[in-house]
Amino acid sequence: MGFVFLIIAAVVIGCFFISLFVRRHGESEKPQPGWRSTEEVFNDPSTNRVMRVWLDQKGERHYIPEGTRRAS
Amino acid sequence: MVFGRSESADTMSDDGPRYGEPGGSQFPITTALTFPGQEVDKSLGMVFGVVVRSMGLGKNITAGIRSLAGGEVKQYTRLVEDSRRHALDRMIENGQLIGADAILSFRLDSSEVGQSLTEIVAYGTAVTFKKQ
Repeated sequence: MGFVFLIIAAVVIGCFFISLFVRRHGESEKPQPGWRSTEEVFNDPSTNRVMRVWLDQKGERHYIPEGTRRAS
Repeated sequence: MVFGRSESADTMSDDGPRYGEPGGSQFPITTALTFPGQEVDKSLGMVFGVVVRSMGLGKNITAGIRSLAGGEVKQYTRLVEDSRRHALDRMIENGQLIGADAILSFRLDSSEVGQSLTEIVAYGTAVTFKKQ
């Protein structure tokens, strides 16, 4: 019984910390060589960063911060 | 979304189609029923992008504490923003899959699935344009 409780506790604690560091969908810090920038720009409301959409060679979309922040 | 130019758009040229225009650097999407200067050749039907996302245990706890204090709960804002991006990306993939030139009447819809799960549906009508 105690062993089962320990496993459950370990899973819960693990999930807690993993959830704090989950990457955001499609977000990268810098564009890779060969990526094309688009004119799709928006303000990320959760971080106030200006984000730009870039396309990779396959046409997949990536969200890259522009390095500027809007005043909140 | 802002459809403007930026100095960091270094791979874009000043000539040619702008973002969102057919032939531009990005897949054309509009909330309108038509695309200015383009004539719809064929409607390919509706395309969807669906996603259900969760914040996870850690952020749920911090968001719960934050919501007690009132004001904006950034963790939930982030969840919805991520879901929007994800659903939009999936809708574009589905549009490209069936050979669409653009998506008209783009809409977003949202609902909850269980507790602390958010569902976002992006949808629109995939069309091809007459070649000019």
